Amino acid sequence: MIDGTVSEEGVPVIALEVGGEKWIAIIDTGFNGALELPAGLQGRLAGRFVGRVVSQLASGHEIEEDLYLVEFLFDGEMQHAEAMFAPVEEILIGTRLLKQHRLIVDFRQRTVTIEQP
Amino acid sequence: MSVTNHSDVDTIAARKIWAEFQTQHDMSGREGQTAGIDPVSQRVWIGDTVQQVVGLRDAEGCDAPLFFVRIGSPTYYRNGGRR
Repeated sequence: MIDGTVSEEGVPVIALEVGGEKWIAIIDTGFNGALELPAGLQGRLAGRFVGRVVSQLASGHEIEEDLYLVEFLFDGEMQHAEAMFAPVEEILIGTRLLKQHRLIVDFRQRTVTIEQP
Repeated sequence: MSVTNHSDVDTIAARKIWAEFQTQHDMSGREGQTAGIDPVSQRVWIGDTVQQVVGLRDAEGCDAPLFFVRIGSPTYYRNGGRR
């Protein structure tokens, strides 16, 4: 089980250790991929380039991106997760990574719980 | 910080191959599945996930990067829009 919080900006976030460092990860239920990772992690995670995909952004624009499969520890299990790398500072977790989990966000209590039922 | 960009996947050719593939194969009932297209060999693999498609490709001794599409959808991902 993973516990997180709703940030001051109203965003559900959790803390993860990735590549030996602590990172903030945003839970984005509007993103149906698994992971968007900071470019700084690209050389630090075991993974491989598998091809290209097209993503639709919230603005409606479409972009082509490189797609990787990375070894990513999540909720105590090593995942073989789909990931894109971008010039961003935070990890973005999408619904694909949560496929086997229950996500509970309590905006009044500002708590986030990710658990396997 | 720059992000590595692989330009060795001819996505234009892949889209043409995929369009042709769909005229020759019945994709009904496969909505939501993943197709991986190799623009060089013109091979197409279909599975439930990227991981499965890559596994099918690997099992045939192929390691070419693929263009992935989600069957029945114009894009593979709907993103959070941070870019």
